Amino acid sequence: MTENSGIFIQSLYLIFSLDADLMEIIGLSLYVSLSALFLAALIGFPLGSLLAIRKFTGSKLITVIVNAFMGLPPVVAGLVVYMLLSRSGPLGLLGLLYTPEAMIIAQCLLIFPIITALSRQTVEDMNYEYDEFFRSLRLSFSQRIKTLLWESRIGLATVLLAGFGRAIAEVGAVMIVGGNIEHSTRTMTTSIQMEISKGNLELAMALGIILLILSLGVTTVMHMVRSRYSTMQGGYRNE
Amino acid sequence: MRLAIIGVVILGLFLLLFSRTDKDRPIIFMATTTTQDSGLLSILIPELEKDTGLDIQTIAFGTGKVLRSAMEGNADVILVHDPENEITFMENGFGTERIAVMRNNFIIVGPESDPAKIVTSDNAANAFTKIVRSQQNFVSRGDESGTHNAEQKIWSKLNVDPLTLPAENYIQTGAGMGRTLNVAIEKAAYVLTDSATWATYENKGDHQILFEGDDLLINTYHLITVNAESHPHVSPASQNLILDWFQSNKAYTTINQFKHQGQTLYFPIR
Repeated sequence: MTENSGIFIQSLYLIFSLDADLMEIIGLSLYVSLSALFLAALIGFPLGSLLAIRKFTGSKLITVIVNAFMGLPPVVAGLVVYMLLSRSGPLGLLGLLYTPEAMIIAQCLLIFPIITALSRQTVEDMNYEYDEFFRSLRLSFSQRIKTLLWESRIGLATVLLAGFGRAIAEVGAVMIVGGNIEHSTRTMTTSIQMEISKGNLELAMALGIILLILSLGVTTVMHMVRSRYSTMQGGYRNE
Repeated sequence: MRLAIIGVVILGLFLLLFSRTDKDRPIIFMATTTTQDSGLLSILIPELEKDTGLDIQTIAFGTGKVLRSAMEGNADVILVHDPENEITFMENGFGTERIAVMRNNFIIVGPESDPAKIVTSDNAANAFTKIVRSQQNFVSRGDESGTHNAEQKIWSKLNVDPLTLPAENYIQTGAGMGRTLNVAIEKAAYVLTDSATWATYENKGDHQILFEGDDLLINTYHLITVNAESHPHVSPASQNLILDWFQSNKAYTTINQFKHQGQTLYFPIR
């Protein structure tokens, strides 16, 4: 028990001492995962709503594939991006392997299916509810997508959270395409893995606690935003 | 569908935005996990950067993965410890120069009580035989790393295929040295490791060094420069700066003075 409380104190000490290396690692973790989330949402939201509203040839197939890829193992996502970006791969000329950008691409690939599949579900429910209303207004297709995305923003915030959680927590993909380079591609999860392999189990645990606190912080912020909006919306929808 | 196309175009633009020219690209120095876990790289690389003025990024993987990455041109210079595979690598034209940098020893580590009584072994092969005979557990890296291949050499000297041993006795982790040591300690098993990793490893439990000192257990590290002719993004000029530095007195003293609790971890080779 004394040993465990020691770990907790060590992690608190690490946070409050504002250790420059630790801050850099935290910053990089957030930069990579949030960028991946942004890119994935940029493509995932429109694609998800398209799949929800329009039934076209192959839309069912795409939906099935996207759903299946929600379970894509991070190491496989990492391997695919590695083979693409490797010097002997098709995109080797870009020289992107072992850079933070490569990690963003890998995480984007990992969470894009989650964002697409979950936003499709959210928007589809919303579309079903408002279908007649939209018809009566004779909204154009793009207006309809815009309205639906806006109206489902609370559900979509949860979708973003799910994607962010998956991105910030994974280690397999960023290890393969990032390489855990100090001051360049070392994230929270890869440094935890490195400390475990050095046998520094206490430091690894302390880093783990920090990662948890970080993730808790992001979730809390999004939750607060969400509950604020939902009370506002509840007000005029009079539910 | 139009949205999807726009999405792909945006992703493409991001890729282009991210891409780097070869000029501002840092040197990728790939080394074995043991040199990172022992802390050598964090002493050596800053000195190397300071003296050569190069921007160097270090990546640590097992030797097998390092050699594979270097073949594909994903590294500029590599530091590895698997002589046989290194020679194959050179013979196939993947590297241009190969110099010996430093050495230390492989050691056999096990529980303090030493149930197989390997302390009194004459050589490494004899120690392995005792472990097999007394049906004790042995943990292997099983990841094609330098340490793993050194272990394979001992088995082949004995004419024993370790894969024919019972799976509960011969445990393959497929992981780096540190994580393999974690497993060995939990399973009260014997394990082959290198002296530097063991000295700096923090989670020893009641394990200790039970056998060392055999010619088969010499662990030599070589520096190899990746063939710049087949990989145009690799700069031979920067490679030569690094090669020269590793042959300098500065490198010799830096490696020689790298100690853990007063113990020299790597012995530089001239």
